[in-house]
Amino acid sequence: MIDAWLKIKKDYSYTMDEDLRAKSDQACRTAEEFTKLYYESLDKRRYLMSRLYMDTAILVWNGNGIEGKDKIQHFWTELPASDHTVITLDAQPVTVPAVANQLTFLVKISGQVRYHEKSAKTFNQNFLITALGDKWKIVSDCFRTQEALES
Amino acid sequence: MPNKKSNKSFWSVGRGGGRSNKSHDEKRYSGEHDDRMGHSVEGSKFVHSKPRVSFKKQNFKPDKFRNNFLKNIDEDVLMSGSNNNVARQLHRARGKSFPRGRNSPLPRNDHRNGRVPNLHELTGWSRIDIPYGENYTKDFVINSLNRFVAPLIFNPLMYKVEGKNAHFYVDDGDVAKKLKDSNEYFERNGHKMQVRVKTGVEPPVRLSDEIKEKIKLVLSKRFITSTMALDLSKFHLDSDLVQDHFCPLNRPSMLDHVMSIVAECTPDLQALNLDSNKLNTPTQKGFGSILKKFKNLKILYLGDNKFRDIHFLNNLKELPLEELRLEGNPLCNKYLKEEYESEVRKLFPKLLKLDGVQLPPPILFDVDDQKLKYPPTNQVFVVNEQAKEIAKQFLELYFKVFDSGNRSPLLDAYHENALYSMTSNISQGPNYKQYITESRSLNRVSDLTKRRKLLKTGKISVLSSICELPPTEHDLNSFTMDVSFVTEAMMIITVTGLYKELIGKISKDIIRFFNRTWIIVPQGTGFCIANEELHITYASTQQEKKFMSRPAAVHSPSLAGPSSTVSVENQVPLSEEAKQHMTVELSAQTNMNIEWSFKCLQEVNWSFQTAVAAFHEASRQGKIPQEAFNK
Repeated sequence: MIDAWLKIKKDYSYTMDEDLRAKSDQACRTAEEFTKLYYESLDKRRYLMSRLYMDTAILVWNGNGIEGKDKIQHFWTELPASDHTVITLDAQPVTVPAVANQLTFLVKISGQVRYHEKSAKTFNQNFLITALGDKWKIVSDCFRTQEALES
Repeated sequence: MPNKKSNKSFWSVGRGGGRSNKSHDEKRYSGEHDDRMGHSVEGSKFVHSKPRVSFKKQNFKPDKFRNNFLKNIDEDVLMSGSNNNVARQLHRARGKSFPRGRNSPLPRNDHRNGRVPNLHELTGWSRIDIPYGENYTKDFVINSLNRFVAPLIFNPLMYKVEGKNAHFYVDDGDVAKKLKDSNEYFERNGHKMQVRVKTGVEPPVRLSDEIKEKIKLVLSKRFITSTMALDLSKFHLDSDLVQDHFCPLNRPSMLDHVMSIVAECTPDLQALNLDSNKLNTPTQKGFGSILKKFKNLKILYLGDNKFRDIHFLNNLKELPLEELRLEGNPLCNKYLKEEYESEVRKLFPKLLKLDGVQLPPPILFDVDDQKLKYPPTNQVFVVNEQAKEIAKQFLELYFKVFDSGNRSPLLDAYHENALYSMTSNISQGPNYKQYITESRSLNRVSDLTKRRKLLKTGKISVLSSICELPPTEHDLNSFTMDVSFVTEAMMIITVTGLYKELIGKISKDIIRFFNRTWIIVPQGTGFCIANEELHITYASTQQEKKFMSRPAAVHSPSLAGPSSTVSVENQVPLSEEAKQHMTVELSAQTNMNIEWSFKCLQEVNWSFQTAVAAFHEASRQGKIPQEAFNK
């Protein structure tokens, strides 16, 4: 019995295979570039936002779902002008079977956002981004400001 | 050129009280044209003394004269609201240009030497005494005096007979001045009635309960519900107050009292008329803050008051004023007509009517009013209704175990190859080191090796990190849940919310805000986590307040439906596999061998945290035999 456990320990002590390590490093690099591009577009070139999304992408903004990249573009256009500052950033490769053939990353951001001249709010946002041909596209974009809920 | 004769007759009339023939406001303006006459020697007769009246041309500066003259006319005409005053003003102004002769017996007036007229004089209350007034009816006295002061009109305040004498107050300095001349007139016409005038004397203001009640009645009488309008013009002369009570709105305490009643009863007031209340800037410092409360005020009348400077309106900028009346205030004379309009417009860009005159419609830029349009926040979003139940149950179970004190059963919530990482910006307070060292924020951690190390890989490693987080108590009422992506094969769930970090019995617990994103995949009959990204930060002050004020029940989840399939804590059975993993992990952490690690976990009922704690405690006390470390 102890032998069996020791075998498990050996399996476990091996932490990351080559493939996962490569994907993990790439996820970090991609997330850094993506984040920069995303918030620059959102703050300064909103009219280009739809290019970042897949046709069937979804944006969830403080619990409001917007589906399809054209509707997402419309939503961003209507929203008051913004100024985002990223404070923390994290990324992981997604290796579940459903996306086995598709390089896919989960990106998470926290930061501060200011609309017009109003005071800054803390926000959290996460993205599922996937490689579509030679372009990264957003599959799912989920945004929340940190607020005290009325309940 | 004034003719000497008419001047003389004017003077002779003026002798009685004529030394104070000018209002004090006028004196302020008249400067060099001052006739240096005193105004305090009451009742002296100068009718027979013939002052030397000379017209000193060198002192006559036409421009200045004209300015003062116009000022006086504008001000007085507007204040008394009657154009008939022009003639009188003209007359008086002319008189002004005749200075007191060098040998005049009149006392030199001191205000030329920098004396500032006091407030009472400015506000112009005066007391009128009628010796032996008991012999006359009130109507007789008032009618006689009103006939005399015509075309001025006055309304007596607090007419009282005390002993043999009667007295009352008037609010109009011009009337008081004129009344000083009445003795001679009455004498000439064979009346015996005497009039004594004391300028700058007003009755004390008392805010007794009786008066407060009276004021409430008067306010409700003056309020028009259909238009949400309140008429407070000439408030102190209100027929229900004037006889017995002195309620001048130019007294800050009175204005405060009255307006706070109004604010309480009709905060959505739309129109307010404060005309003719002797309001003036120095005494109305709080004026702006009093009126600011009425967020819906569209019409405001402040005409015929004593405001000298337009800046007192700065405080009212926020009001949605469409109509404003300011005419009859000294400030109006500071500006040319166009200037005046544009100064007022600067403060109230949307004003449509000023002093009863329609303003040309304002031309504004076509901007979107800068109103921020945000969609309202929804606590839960689920892209697919079917996924909702799964997600709800999953997170409810997860946090029940997470808060239970033994997080080990969560091992089964993770996929064999699960990935987990945490970011945090917590940099102070209890446990901060733990957050900082474990935080995998890519913009802070640039070293590839460290990045890899902080990405926990495999369920044991993940569980180990999860177990090391401080003990918690989550508030499900504060949770939000977004299920943004759902397929047969995977689901993305993002949960945010508040938890209490349990520090210990002595120090205070801390409220934290977390945001967790899971990718969950089907496994067996249930689901497990393939990816988890956790972010932990400070709760905002508002969130803390909300958290503290919540009802005591911790798990009264608004997210979760009727708690159906889920059971808690120890009832979640731990698989053999999980036990093996935990044993190996404990062995790795403590360096104890597998056997001892197994025993240790068994003793503490498979609570990994407890096992680690027990190990450290026993180790500290030297109770662990060497054989435990033999491998």
